[in-house]
Amino acid sequence: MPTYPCLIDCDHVVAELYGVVNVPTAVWIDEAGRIVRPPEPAGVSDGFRTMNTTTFEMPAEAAADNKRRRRIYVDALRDWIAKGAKSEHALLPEEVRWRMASPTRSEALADTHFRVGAHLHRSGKPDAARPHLEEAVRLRPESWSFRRQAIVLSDPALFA
Amino acid sequence: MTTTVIYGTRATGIPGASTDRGGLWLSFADFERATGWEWKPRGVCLGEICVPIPPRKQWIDERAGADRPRRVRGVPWAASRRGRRARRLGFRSCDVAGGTAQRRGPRLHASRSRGEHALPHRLSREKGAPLLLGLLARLPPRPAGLAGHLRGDPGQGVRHPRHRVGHRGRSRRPRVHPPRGGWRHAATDPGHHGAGTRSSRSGPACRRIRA
Repeated sequence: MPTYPCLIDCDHVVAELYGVVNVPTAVWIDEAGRIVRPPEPAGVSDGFRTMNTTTFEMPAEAAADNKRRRRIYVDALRDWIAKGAKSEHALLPEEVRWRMASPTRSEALADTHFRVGAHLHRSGKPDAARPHLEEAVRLRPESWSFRRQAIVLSDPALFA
Repeated sequence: MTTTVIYGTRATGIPGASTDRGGLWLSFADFERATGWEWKPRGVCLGEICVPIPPRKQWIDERAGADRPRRVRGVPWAASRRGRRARRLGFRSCDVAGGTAQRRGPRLHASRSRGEHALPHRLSREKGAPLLLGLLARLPPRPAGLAGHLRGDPGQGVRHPRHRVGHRGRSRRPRVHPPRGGWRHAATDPGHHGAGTRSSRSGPACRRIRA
């Protein structure tokens, strides 16, 4: 049983507001509520793509690269916790703005279709929900948040 | 006929809504009830953000003000195809862009897990302490035959949000522009995940009007 708050974002609000399309993603927010580092992969890489899908083994180079990235990320996080805004990893406000983009109309529409689909599904109308979920995935194909949720909601076996 | 208007995380049933001419038409009272925006002499407002509305206008539809693209065109909508009875107004782009311009995290509400019960929780309760917001997905146990569904799923995702994948799964070559102040070195930047891209979309999308 964790001793820290565990939050369940049933409506994918965090993903929508921050533009998160995949996991694991992390955001650094300081004591004043300011974004110090916008959404970014939390010390991970594409190394899993080299995994042997039969044995689930990873090449040594990929495993080492994963380890190196995790170490860099955790070290940076500890540095920020210790030094606060003086940490070299705390981004300047201009760089935070530069790294975060506003959603395009297409992306916002995808979020909207997703929300309608989720609402219809919760209302016991899975057939009406399906086209909206599919449209959300079509409009924002890079969003694995949509893709995974659409798969789960569209498959009664998974939803049960 | 009752139309359900979804705005943010709230879904409101509006008995008197009209869906004439392909739009959703709401009285101001219903609009306020469904969205939380308030009708004021200078327009409809949510906090400091106001959208001017022409005087003596009795009704508002969610696409009103299309001639003012910087103000309300950031509110997309979708309607259920069957009877068009469920409508959802998208988050205002200023929820994201305005927050970005101020470098502040949007206010979030979520459920706090405690055993089998979910309790309402606001992240603002954590204000005053540094916060690392981590996002993880949990999939149900994989039944037999699901492998096809998940084929190609990056799983423990690693693709940077800025690394867009084009339609039909084709990767687009990112356009690379140096940020102000130059690039950070990959070996020391904890968020580095390949070349970054910059979209020309960035920038505040909402104008703030102070009373």
